[in-house]
Amino acid sequence: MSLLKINGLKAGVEGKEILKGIDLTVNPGEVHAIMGPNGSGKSTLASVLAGREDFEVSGGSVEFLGQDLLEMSPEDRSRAGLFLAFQYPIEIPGVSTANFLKTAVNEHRKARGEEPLEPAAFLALMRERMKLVEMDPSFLQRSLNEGFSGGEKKRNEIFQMAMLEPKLAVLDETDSGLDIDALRIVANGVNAQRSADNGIVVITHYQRLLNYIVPDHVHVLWNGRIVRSGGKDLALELEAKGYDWIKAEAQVEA
Amino acid sequence: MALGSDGTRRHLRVFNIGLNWSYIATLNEHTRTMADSQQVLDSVVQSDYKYGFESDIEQELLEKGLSEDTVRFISAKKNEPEWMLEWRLKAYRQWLKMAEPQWPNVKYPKIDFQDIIYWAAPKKKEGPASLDEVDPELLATFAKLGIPLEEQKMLTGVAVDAVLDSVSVKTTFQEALKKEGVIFMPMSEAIQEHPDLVQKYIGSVVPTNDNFYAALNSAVFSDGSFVYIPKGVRCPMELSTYFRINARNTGQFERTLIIADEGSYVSYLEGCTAPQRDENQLHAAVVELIAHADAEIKYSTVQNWYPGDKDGHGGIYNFVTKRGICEGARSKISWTQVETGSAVTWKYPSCVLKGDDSIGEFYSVAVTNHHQQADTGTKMLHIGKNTRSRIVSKGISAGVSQNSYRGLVKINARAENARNYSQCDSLLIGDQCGAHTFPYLETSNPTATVEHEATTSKIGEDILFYCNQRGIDTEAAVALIVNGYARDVLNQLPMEFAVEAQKLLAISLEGSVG
Amino acid sequence: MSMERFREFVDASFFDLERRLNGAGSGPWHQLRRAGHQAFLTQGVPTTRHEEWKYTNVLPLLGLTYQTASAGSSGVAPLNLAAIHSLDTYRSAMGSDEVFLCLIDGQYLPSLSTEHHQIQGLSVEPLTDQLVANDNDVRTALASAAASEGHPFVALNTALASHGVVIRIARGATIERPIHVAMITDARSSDRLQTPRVLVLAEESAAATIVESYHTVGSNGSLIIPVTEIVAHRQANVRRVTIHDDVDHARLIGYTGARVHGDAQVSSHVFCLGGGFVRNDLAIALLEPNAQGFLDGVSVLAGEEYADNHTVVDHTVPHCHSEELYKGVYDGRSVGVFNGKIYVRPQAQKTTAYQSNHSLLISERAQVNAKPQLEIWADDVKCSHGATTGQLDEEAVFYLQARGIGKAEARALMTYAFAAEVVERLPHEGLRTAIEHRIARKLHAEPFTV
Repeated sequence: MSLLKINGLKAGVEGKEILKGIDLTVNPGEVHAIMGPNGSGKSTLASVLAGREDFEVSGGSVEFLGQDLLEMSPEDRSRAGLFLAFQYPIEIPGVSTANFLKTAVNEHRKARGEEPLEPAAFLALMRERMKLVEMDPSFLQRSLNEGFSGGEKKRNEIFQMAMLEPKLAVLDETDSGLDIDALRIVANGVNAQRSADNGIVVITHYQRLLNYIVPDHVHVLWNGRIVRSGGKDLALELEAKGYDWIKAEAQVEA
Repeated sequence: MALGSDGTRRHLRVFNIGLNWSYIATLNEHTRTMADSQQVLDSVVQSDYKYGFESDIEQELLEKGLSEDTVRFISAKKNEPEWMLEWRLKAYRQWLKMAEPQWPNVKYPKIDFQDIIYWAAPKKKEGPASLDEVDPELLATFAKLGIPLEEQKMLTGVAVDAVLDSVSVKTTFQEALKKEGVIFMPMSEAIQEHPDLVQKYIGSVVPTNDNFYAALNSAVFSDGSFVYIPKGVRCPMELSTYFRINARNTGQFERTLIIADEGSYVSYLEGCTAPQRDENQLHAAVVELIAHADAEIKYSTVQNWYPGDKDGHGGIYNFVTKRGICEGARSKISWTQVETGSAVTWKYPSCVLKGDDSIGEFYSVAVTNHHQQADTGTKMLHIGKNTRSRIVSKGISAGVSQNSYRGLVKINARAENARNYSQCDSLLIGDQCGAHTFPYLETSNPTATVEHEATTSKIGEDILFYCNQRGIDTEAAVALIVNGYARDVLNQLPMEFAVEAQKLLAISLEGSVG
Repeated sequence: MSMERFREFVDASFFDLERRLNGAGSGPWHQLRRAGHQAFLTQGVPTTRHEEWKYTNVLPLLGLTYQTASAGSSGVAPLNLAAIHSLDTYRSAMGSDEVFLCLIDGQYLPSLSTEHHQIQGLSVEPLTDQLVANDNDVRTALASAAASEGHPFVALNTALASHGVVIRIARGATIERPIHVAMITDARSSDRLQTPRVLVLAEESAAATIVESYHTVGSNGSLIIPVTEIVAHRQANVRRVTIHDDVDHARLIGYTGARVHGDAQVSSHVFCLGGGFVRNDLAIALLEPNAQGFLDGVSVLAGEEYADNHTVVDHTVPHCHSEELYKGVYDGRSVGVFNGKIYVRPQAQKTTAYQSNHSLLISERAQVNAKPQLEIWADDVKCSHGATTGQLDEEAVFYLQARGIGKAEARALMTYAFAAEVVERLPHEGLRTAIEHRIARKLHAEPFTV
């Protein structure tokens, strides 16, 4: 069974259609990259998958592990194994990273009918998973993302992913604003979580990240549609030639 | 004056006893060992006011109404000495000439002070009551509240002076305290056994004519707690009083007096609940604290009086005067309050910083939901040199409630090098509620430093969505965020109270985000 | 019983005025006067039990035997404006830029004012019963930004004002030259009370700067109770500068109300630099989206001076913005009061409102009372206020000393810099420099000149 099956998905905001019919299937073990210029609908796709209310779905369907994803609340999508790494992670003053994650992990466990983790076991797990993204344990006691640098916030996203062990992770422009060292750390963190069972959708503007997280499939999103799909070489081609030729091609086809 | 015939048996209505009991048990278990306070939110599942049961106890009730005879009756009932009666009568006469305060930012129908019962007590047999002699119904009530009366169960280090309506029923751990010379007993007993101390200090911080409700309390107070910590003694356990209004149409007027003699320390906790009723009930307490040189008093309150239903029917009017004086040099008084209950709250725990180098602190979380109104804050009066005060106030408004912070920082002309820092934050949940800040900063000394900061924020959709995406539903997310927001205050509470307070915050805000 | 006598004086003055109206008694302005008179009688003179007057006792001000201008000052020699020192200072500061409007005892005197008819887009007229009766805009605006209910001295001004001035800026016009309204109280022959009324109407996209100053001549008591109303229509930009630098025996209880429409802004700069007693109320109502209010104030007081600034910013609709900064330096036995209210009404989402108030006490006997007040009924807002009272940063003083500056000088310099932060926001260079010099002189400091 595929992890994610998107069929003819149309969605928009305040009556303006942004996604104009997306088809995409992600199978276990696959890494898909979705690339495209600014405003092509990449982040809208991520938001719709995670269930952000601002967007209205006007057509098509999304199946996640055989379930109708669009019918589920955001928290149920999360508990079912869908993870979104936010392009702009939120700061929550007063709520420590540890406390936040403990609540999240235990909600996931509760949904699976499991007991909450013992504090000691939980702490050990956090310390272990933090190493994946080279985060210092002192971050656990700091308010979530408050006063974190851009790179620290993105590492925290990947750390959270490691804690929640999603079936499908959608990384929304996780590379934006990262210097090369931070990019490498984040990518290593993601790669360590790749397995034959889970899938990853990497949304990015630039090919750079894909040097580190090597995709099985690359899709180009433009004007609300996937206008081209291919292997990892497509990303290199985009890097070399820019997006203009894709736009020109798409316009000719349309 | 006859006793009302009303005070006979009523049926027991029970809500959530099981939860309540197990919850308290959990609380005790956590008391000293729980290092990780982060797990306390896990069990937030309860949405009704869980203390809303009524106890079936044989009660002795005075008829409604207030007159000099009422005052005399109460005093006689308590077998009080003449000076105490005179003191009450003076207060009563002052009260007659006073008017209800109009300045708080709260609205409620006019209270008919003749429509209140000023005396309601469980019927007691003659002679000192041992545990066996106490009405088993009453013991059951306290069990529901989670107050373990039997001393052998008291492994937590908390001694409890439980006040049901008016009369202190049982004080625990008195023996252990007596060894240290600590006096912890019902006010009515203290008047009998330690008249010198009571006469010396009662009304010394809150004079009988201080305000309308303080005068009323002085005239008709029925009981309360009395604490004296001798010189140099660090009170070996936290002292606690649990208040509960039980009878219908009664007002509760308790009076607490805590004296910390030179170099002593005491931490005192206060909790309160009331039955769910359609009518409003009045609670007008007075608390006086006296800290002598080098003494420290830490006073914590978790206030959970019945707030009324979601349409604003019923609930307690909580009009309380709390004030402490740092009499001696280097003394310290710290107020911490978590206010989740009451229909209307009017309360300003204050510090008079008279001794040089004395310190006053006020930490407050006030939650209002539905139709609740709170006008609360503090007064810090800097009189001595090098006095310091710190105010951290966190208001949370939801529903159609109104939440006001009102605080005074006054630096007298002779208060050299006084320092104050105030932080007043407001968190708004939903767009129907209000948050108001009324700080008064009065400075008459050029060496003073007074700083006040206030911010207003809301729980935004983006934060909730982020939490949802991590699998945390909206209700749990609100609890998480609110507890984070209130953390600076909750950290000031003893652990077991912090746990209860966190749960209360979550419960009182349930249903506030759609 | 001075309060009683004061009431009698107000009554007598009101009926005296009514008698002299000759037929205008049924006109719309006089209807407002009657309502104002009633409102004053209803409210009475406020005592310190009144929350808005908690720190400021006006009773001692009312004990004198006042006369209003209508009682006549005939037989007294004409005023020599050049001899009024504070007036001359600020007039020189504006130089040839200045559009001077002279009000003596509330009456606008074109003969003593700048000939303004050539200035494109500017119209200045005396406020008369006839104008109020015949001019729709004036009638609508009068008493729209200053309500007699809720403020006893607005009521009193409304009851007794028989003169004033209307300043109109035409649609789209920008008046570059500052318009200086000088209110002069002639207290040479008796204790004098005057109630001038100013109306500023800025039409759509109009822009102007109005400077108001107050000057007492003569050694008798003076109490001036001015009310200024500003209406800023869409996209208008009104800057209002208020200079209090009167003589020690001058008293003032003033009120300014501004109504700000969509995309318009009103900026206020209040300088309390002299005058025995000043109570200043400033109320800015933001009425349509993207209206903005900027409120600056600085008080530098010494001796027995008293300055009480009350401000209200009322956010009534979404997407409005306000910013407020008031500072005070208090020497001698001076007393400062700051009460700043921000209201955010239930529908005023996306409001941003910031307020700060900072005070320096530099004498043992000076005093400051602050009440920064936020009242918020909307949830999607960004509001904050901060208030501090403190001393100079001794580290910084030491730093200056380490660079060879004497301690007293260093402290004066630091104090000056503290106050000057507010002055710097005033765009008119000449006026700014004059105020900076005035503050420096008062603090015995050298002004920074770049």
